[in-house]
Amino acid sequence: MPSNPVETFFQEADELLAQIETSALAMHESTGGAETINDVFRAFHTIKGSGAMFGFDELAAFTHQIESLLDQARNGSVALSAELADIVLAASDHIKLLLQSAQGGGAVDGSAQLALLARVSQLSAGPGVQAASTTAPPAQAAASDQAALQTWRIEFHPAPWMLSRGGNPVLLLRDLAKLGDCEIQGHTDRLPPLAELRTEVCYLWWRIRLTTASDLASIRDVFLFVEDGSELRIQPEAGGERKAAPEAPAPEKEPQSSGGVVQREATVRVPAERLDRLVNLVGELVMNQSRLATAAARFHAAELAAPVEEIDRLVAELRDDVLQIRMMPIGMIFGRFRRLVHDLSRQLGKQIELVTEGEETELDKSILDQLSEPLVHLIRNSIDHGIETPAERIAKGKPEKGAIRLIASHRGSDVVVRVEDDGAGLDRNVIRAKAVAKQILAPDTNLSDKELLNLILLPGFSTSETVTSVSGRGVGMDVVKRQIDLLRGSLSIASEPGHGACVSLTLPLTLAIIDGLLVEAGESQYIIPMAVVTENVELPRAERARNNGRNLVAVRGELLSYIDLRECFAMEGQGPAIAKIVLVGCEDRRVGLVVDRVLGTHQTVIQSLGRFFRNIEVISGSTVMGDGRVALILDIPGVVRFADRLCRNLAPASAA
Amino acid sequence: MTFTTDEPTGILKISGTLDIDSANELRETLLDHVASQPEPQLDLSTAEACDAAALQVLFAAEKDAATLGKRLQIQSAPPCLAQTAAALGMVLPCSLQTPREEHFDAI
Repeated sequence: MPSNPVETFFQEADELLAQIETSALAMHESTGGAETINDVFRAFHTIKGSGAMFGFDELAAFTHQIESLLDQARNGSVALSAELADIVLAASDHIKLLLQSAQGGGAVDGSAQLALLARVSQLSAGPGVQAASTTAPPAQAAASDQAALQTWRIEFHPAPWMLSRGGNPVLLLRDLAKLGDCEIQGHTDRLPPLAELRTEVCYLWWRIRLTTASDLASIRDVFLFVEDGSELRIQPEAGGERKAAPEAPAPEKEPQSSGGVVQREATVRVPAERLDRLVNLVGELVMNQSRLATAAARFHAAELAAPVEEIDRLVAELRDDVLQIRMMPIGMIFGRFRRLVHDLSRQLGKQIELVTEGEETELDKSILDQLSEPLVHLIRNSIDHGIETPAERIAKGKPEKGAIRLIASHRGSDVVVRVEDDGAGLDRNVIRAKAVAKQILAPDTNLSDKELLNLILLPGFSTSETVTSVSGRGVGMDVVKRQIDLLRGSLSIASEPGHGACVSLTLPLTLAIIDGLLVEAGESQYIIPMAVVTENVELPRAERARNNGRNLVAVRGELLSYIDLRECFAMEGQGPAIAKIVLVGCEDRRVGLVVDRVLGTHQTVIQSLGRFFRNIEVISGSTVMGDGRVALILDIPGVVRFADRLCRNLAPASAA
Repeated sequence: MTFTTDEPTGILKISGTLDIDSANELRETLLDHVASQPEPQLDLSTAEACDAAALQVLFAAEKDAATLGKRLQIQSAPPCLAQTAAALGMVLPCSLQTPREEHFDAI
């Protein structure tokens, strides 16, 4: 149970506002129906009620106005329109400001609130109201008559904790009685003897017979704040159907015969810090299990073998289960991009649709938290520089509306997120010209297509003619690259001029514990993430070659460059006559890492190096081995970049 | 909430607010009263309010009494108690002041 209910309210309000935003955008695109309006209404209703409960009266009062307008939309007296959708979006933004203010943020602009409420009043009282009423279907007209009463049987078994959490069945039943004629039977059969009775637990339950003109949704709304953990059945009484002949089709909102048991999924809200602590503890367990296994092997104690093996199995299972708890669907962050695309495309006078796929693809929460910013930048780039204006697109024979696709999928132990657009694509000539102008590239340098496209990842590089408020300053793509590198991911760019561009982000599923390959060079041990390892081969000294400053080796006929870790870390002495070369994939190329020995796979709990060492580009972390030694985890892209610089004899950036 | 027992009659007088905060104290006192009195009786005339948590304690006490072959009676209760019980679709235990017809009228 949360230690601070107000904190829980703020978190839940954020979630509800995200839902409202998604629904409002659907209303804009006319893809939302009556159910969307209902969802939006209930979300505002919940925010209002919870806000009032915690004393946020201004929030409750403002939300009430929006709720009233939506109630009119629900019953058809206000038509669904773009203006309604805009008001819902604006109201959601304003509520965010009110919530921020309630959490210690700045005061909210009262004039903005008044202006918004004026729009609400105008829509509420506007011609749309009269037009809607004159075209109301016959059933709705009949519904306003006395004859459209329905009798409902309600059975309510509250959650045991209802009373201890402030629920008041007296007020609830009085609210229900306001809907119509209400016969209430309270039941005490579940009361235990006094000696066993826990006074904070609610043992009472009720059967109610309600005759009302209100619909099922309105009845359910009475129980909105007590539904969690409760059992609620609402069914029309047999033979108690409407007296007025229902010629018109049944209302879209909710089928009247759908009363059933309201079941809630059992979920627990846990602070993220507790999950992090749990992962850390599991990490410690993994490390100590490794030390135990090492010690047991050293002492050759037969009676320890079986329990050590069992602990190994249990720890692996615990590790997987705990890491699974942290896995979240990427759809959680996809939703917020719809608003971004909606607002930015309007700002730039473009028409753009956001299509998402793979929302259910899961990855670690800590990665998800840091992925939002790079994706925002990529989408902004697509909108600003990629997708053309409607007139330009028509002139090119393209559909007037551009599309940005966000696609997430699993690939092995990675998640791949692609941001694709059908815009103008990247112009290689412009990129080359800009690189030459900035003296990043000599005019006669030959670059592969990939190398040319990757130039836009350099700091300060932007091919945009103008700096807009959206993008163009050239401070973005290198930051995106760096953020992806910090997540131990990789980024690649593809583009077909005139047809669009695609940026692919490849990310690990989790940052906490990885499968690593333990290698040794000199006296030091290193971990290479197994996710990038493709194979190991032996490398006799005689087969090493050098060409143009690069170390090269032939592997099954393919010439590959390799990095000698001894050279990289300036170790003294020579390695063994036959070293091992670990081939790794790095940014769509294969590179070899030469080590003295490959010691085997290792379940690696990643420990941060701390802030003093976090800028070392070749190392991404460390881990503690079974014998207590520390092994450094290699940052493969960092190692490759460092080695490339050594080969090009550029001003060396220190590995440290 | 305070409890006073009238020695000659054995009537337990309960004053103050009967709510979830005082419900456990009410439970312990009624447990003892129902067990010790041959005819357990309550005087709630000076009770100021009653919520569902306290009401279920009263009903549990009525059941306990019945189990012991006794009958718990409430000699007098303020209107607020009866209204609370009525709103919950219940009747105060063996109350002389809230007949069933009045219960429905209250709703």
